[in-house]
Amino acid sequence: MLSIAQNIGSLIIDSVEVIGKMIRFSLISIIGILSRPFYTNIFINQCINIGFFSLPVVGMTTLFAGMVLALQSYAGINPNLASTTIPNLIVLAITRELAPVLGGLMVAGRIGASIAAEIGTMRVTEQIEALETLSTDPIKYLVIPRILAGIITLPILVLIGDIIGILGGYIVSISKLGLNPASYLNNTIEALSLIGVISGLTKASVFGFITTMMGCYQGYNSSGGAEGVGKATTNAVVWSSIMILIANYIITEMFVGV
Amino acid sequence: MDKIVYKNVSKSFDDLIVLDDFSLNIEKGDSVVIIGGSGTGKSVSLKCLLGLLTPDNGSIKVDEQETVGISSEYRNKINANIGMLFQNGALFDSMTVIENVCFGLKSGKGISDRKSRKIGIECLNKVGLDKSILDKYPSDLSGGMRKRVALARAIATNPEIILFDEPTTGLDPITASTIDNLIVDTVRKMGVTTITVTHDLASVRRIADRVALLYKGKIEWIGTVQEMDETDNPFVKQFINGSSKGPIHWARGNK
Repeated sequence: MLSIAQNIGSLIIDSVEVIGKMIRFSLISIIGILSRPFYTNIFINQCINIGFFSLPVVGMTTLFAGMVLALQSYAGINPNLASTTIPNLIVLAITRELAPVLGGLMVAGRIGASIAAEIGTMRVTEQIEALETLSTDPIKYLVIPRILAGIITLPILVLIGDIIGILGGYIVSISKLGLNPASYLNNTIEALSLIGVISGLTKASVFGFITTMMGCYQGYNSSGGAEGVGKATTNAVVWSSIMILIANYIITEMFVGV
Repeated sequence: MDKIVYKNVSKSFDDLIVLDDFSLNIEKGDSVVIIGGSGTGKSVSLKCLLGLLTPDNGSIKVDEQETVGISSEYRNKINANIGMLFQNGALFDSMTVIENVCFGLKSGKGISDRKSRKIGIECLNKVGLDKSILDKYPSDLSGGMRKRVALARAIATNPEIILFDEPTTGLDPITASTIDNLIVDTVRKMGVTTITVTHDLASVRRIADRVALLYKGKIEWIGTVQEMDETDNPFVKQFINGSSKGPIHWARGNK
């Protein structure tokens, strides 16, 4: 009985320690943004890597999400109301939930893993120590450009994902379900709300921060050679996915205001 | 005047004591080699000097200035005068050779691209490498060439102190000898103070002005190469002879 209590206690202490370290790492990074030097070239490269190269995967995800949503919602509603209900549902679901959450999770898998692997490899091969000996702050050089790129590029990705997802729903609704294109478009435009789009973009920005911060944190603190880097990569994806889902609920509650 | 002074430095990792009341004075222009078995804290002593690790106790002074517990800005200023050759080179694998060599000049010292490239090529020439490898990546180079590039990067910022962490480990005897000669030539020309960490005795004889034997976190013995060969100190004799019998037991935690 005592050993169970001891295990639970040590688990809680370890978890609190890890959370504390993550918060400290995040704060150091955020404070670092405010001071020079800022590595513009690395920031631009990361924007291209995180934003541009994630476009196909986010585009595909939201396209099929919109298409499936059209089919599923048609199956569950009165066909006479389809031309008003389906565009409403698709716009609401894509802009507020599916584009940011699915896009965030996809980017977490692609970018979180690659950041953790890259920085983790640098850690175990002493490249981060080499940076420090060359009078370069690794947080400013490696972490801040990636976190800023995540915060800025993910909302842009999600905005494009919104358009592609709505387009996917439109294609299925018109070509497969035989809905009237003009009335579908009108209803889509009417269903679009500024607050819905903003809530989705806010989520995307937060998810961008979570994904890049977690990738950097796990990579930066990795140890134990190739196995350690593998573990850091897995942790980065798992933890950023979980945190994205938790943050999604918190932000949704803030915007819905229940 | 002492360039570097370690005074009563201690460093532990959890329950493992690595440096225990470690003290060492190094004069300007001196080439000190720290010898000892693997895992005895030789590299830790270098990392404490660079601020990569913070000692639990004690003081490390460079040019009579304390370096323990200083701000990161001041640390960057101190490190700008220290070059480091890491055990495996620690070259940035996403950068080309010339980008690696010029990194400290551009990022650390803010020197322009053109000027830093010129200095970088000069440093590569000093270590016997020509322009044909400038745009190669570290993964394209042999172990010996990577060490040379790492040495070029370490000397590029014209530091007053250079630290060598096992510079010849993993190299064949001829390449090892070449690297040692490069270190000696470069260091003599530049007049810098060096600390080399190694357990390669051939390397010690080529590089060292003074040799220090590290055992159980302390300097057990210090002297010149000639004194090392003539001493009756049982620790030094056992280390030189590579004998398993004697006062030295490398197993960790032998207190």
